[in-house]
This record gives sequence, C-alpha cells and structure tokens, in this order.
Amino acid sequence: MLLSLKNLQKNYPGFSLDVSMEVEEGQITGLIGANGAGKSTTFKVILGLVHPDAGEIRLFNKDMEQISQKEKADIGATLSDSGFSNCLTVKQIVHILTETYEKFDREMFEKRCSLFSIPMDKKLKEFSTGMKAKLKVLTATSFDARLLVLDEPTAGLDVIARDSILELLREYMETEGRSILISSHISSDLESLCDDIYMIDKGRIVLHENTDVLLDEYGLIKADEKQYELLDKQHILKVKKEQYGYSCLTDERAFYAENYPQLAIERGSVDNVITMMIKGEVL
Amino acid sequence: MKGMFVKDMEIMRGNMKTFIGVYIIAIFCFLSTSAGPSFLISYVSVLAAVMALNTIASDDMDNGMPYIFTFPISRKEYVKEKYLLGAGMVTVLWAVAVAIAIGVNASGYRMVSWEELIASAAVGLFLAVFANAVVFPIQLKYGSSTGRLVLLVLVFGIMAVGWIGVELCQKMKVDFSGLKNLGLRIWNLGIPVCLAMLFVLMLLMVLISCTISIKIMEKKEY
Repeated sequence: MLLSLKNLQKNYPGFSLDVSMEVEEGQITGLIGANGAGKSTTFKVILGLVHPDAGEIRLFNKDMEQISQKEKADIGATLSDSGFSNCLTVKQIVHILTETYEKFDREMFEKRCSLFSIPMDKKLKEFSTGMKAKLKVLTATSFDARLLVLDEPTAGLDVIARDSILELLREYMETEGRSILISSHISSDLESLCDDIYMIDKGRIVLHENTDVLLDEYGLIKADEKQYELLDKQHILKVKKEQYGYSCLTDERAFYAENYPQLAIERGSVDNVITMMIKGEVL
Repeated sequence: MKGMFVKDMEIMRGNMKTFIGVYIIAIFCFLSTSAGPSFLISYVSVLAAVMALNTIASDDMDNGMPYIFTFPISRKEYVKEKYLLGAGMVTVLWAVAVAIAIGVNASGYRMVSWEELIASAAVGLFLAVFANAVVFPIQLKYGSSTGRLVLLVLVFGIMAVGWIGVELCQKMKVDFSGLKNLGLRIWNLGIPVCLAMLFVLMLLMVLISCTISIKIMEKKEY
C-alpha cells in the first residue's frame, strides 16, 4: 500500500472532511466529486499543506510524521490552483529541479517539453492555461516519483492535450511500484485511466468501486410509475424521482437486463453513478 | 535546500536589472552629492535585505506557496533558507559598499574620520539586519500584500507611540541623563567592544525572528 487514509478529519466552519481511502501499489486511483466536496482538501492533507484534526495517514507504509524529506522526493504533485512562480522560465525551472530532485531526468524532461510544444525561454506568465497544466504534469513525472498526487491535472486542456497527458500517465505507470491518486472533473478521463474510483460528497466518501465493475455491472434503470412498482428492488442502490417516473441505480445491471427486457437500462458511467449517489435516495 | 537557493537566485536574476540600476544610482549619489558613507552603506545594505524579502513575495505571488511545499523541503528549512539568503545578500552587498566607502576615503576624494566610517558601516549593517528580522515574520504571516499594510501600520504605530512617549517624558520632565551616561560608558569601552555588542544584538534579533518565523510557517495552512 503506497497511501492509506484512515478516518482523516479536517473541520472548517460549515464543512467537515472525514475520509478513509487507500491507494494500492501499481494502481491508478481516482477521486471524483462536485466542487467543494472535499477533493482538494484531501489532497492538501496528503501533501502536508493542511494539518488534519484527527485520523491517520500512512505513506510508503510509514506514518506521515516519519516521512523524511528524501522520501518526500518520491511524491510528484500537481495542484489545481498553484504552481511555479510566473516570473520563471522553463530553463530556470530545469535548473531548480536539477538541484531539488536527485533523480530528476533532465534529458527526458526537455525532450517532453519539446514534444508538448512548451517553450524553454518564455516566462510562465506568457503561458496559456493549457501550457501551464502540461508543464505541471511533466514536472511531476520527471523525477521518478513513486506516487503522483494530481489534483485536476487535465483542467484547462483541450481534448488532444488531455489525451497526451493521459498517455503520459499510462506510460509513467509502466514502471513497477508506482501509483497515482488523481482527481478530475472530466469523468471520461477517470473512466479510461483509473483502476478504482472513490466518490466524495460533502466531505464523505459515498462510493468506492473498481472502475471495470462500475462500468460493466452498474446501470441506470429508467422506469415509469407502473414499471417501478413491479421492479424487484433488492439490487437498487439509489432512486431518483423524474418527470417520466423513476431512475434507479443498480450494481446488478445484468440481473435487470435479463429479467426486465422491456426496461430501458443505461450502462454505468462515472457521471450517472455520481449523480445518483449524490442526488438519489436510498430505498 | 539547495534547490530553494537556486530558485531564489533565479528569481533575483530576473530582477537584477532593476537592482543594478538602483545600486548605480546610490553610488552616483554618494560620489556626486554631499551624501556621506553612511548613506551608501545603509542604502545598499537595506536594499540587499529588500532583495531577499522580495523572494518571499515572488513565492507567494499567484498562490505559489502550496506548490513549493510539495517539494522535498520542510517549512523549517524554507524559513532557514530565507534567513541564510538574507544574511548572505546583506553581508556581500554591505561588504561591497564598505569597500567602496573605504576606497573613496583612502583616495582622499572625500575624507571622513575612520571612526565615522566604522560607525556608518555598523549602523548600515544593523539597519539591514533589523529590517529582515522585523519584516520576515510579518511577510510570512500575512503574505506580501497584507504584510505591506501590516508593516505600514506597525511603522506608524511605533512612530506614534514614540512621539507620545517623548511628549509625555517632556511634560513629566523625565531625566535621561542616566541613559546618556550609559551610552557614553559603552562608547568608552572602545570600538571593538561596541562592535562585538552590536554583533551579539543582531544575532539575537535574527535568532528570535527566525524562531518566530518557523512557528508561523509550521502553523500555516494552504
């Protein structure tokens, strides 16, 4: 286990975070939730930017307090709202990274910057949002970190750039012993990348599921009033009243497809699962 | 910590043209006006302190601080690096200013007594160290923009308290002759002892300031 959070708590006026989650070695774990659900706070606690009020964080099988600065160099991070000073150029950043990380691969970093059309001599203040986002991910993957903690790494990127970044992350995972914890608003990114997904709402984890299971076995049943009444509800997780009747989230899509062939059943997706988990009601 | 030093050097390199311009103006003023060595040394030393302080403002700009702390550097190390940078910048540029003042004095272009030169050098260094010791914790606690406001309030507050104090002392006819005698007695101990005392005072100021800054940073959340 590269990272585990056990009842990690942080309280602010009007908001409290209480999460437990794990990131396994060799896995990409996604954290998804609406704005203000607690994703960034969770990431900040993991990175030591915010002090937790209670709970346990274990990193590389050690308590967080025992993590040395050398071991901290095994974490690569991107934050959605923070980065290098805008008055620096990439050339200067290369110099800084060389002196900060023992395992910084300068040649690979420069090659990738060129591949992603990132200018070396321009100041960051002249960069577009997309260029800055790319630079953050390239930086986090440049020093052989064992764990990447990526908060909204694809925000502000166009489809092509997003795809390249996701490809870069897949390539990063080809080396054994690495893991990624990633958050994104773009659910399709997580669906195609993550091995498992945590859903967070109002500071609490509302669902943890393997991505393949979520996509293959979950489903959204759309039933009118009559169909809903006749429905076997033992595998229904959440129900939401709609204009046409009810939408029901199930983790046994095959069961309903087989026994109720007349029902409209959508395949599971991160979007409809999270919507139902947050807005739906338990029977 | 080395990476942080490099970062700060790179940030300062970006502002180098402005700083060099300001230094040239200071040297020009010193050579072409009646400004004495105390002006040159104090000006250059305090500006060196400002250069170091400016790196905190750059780190803080555009919410850059959280990203810095994802690097393998503890908050304690960050603070230590800033104080070391401040001390280094002030020492080097103060030494350059003192060397210029000594050169000008030795050339006979404009003579002041060596005692005055030594006193000017000591005061210049003290002012720069004092500036760093006071402003570092304020800037780290409040950030660069609010920090400037807090500093302004603090300076005016001290001035107001000082003025009220003087007025009150005059009205109450407080006798300061004891304090004057103490100053004279210290001066009579000789220049080396005075300098050593000043050095210890500066060291204490920096140590107290650094301890406060570390506590501020360790409590801070991003």
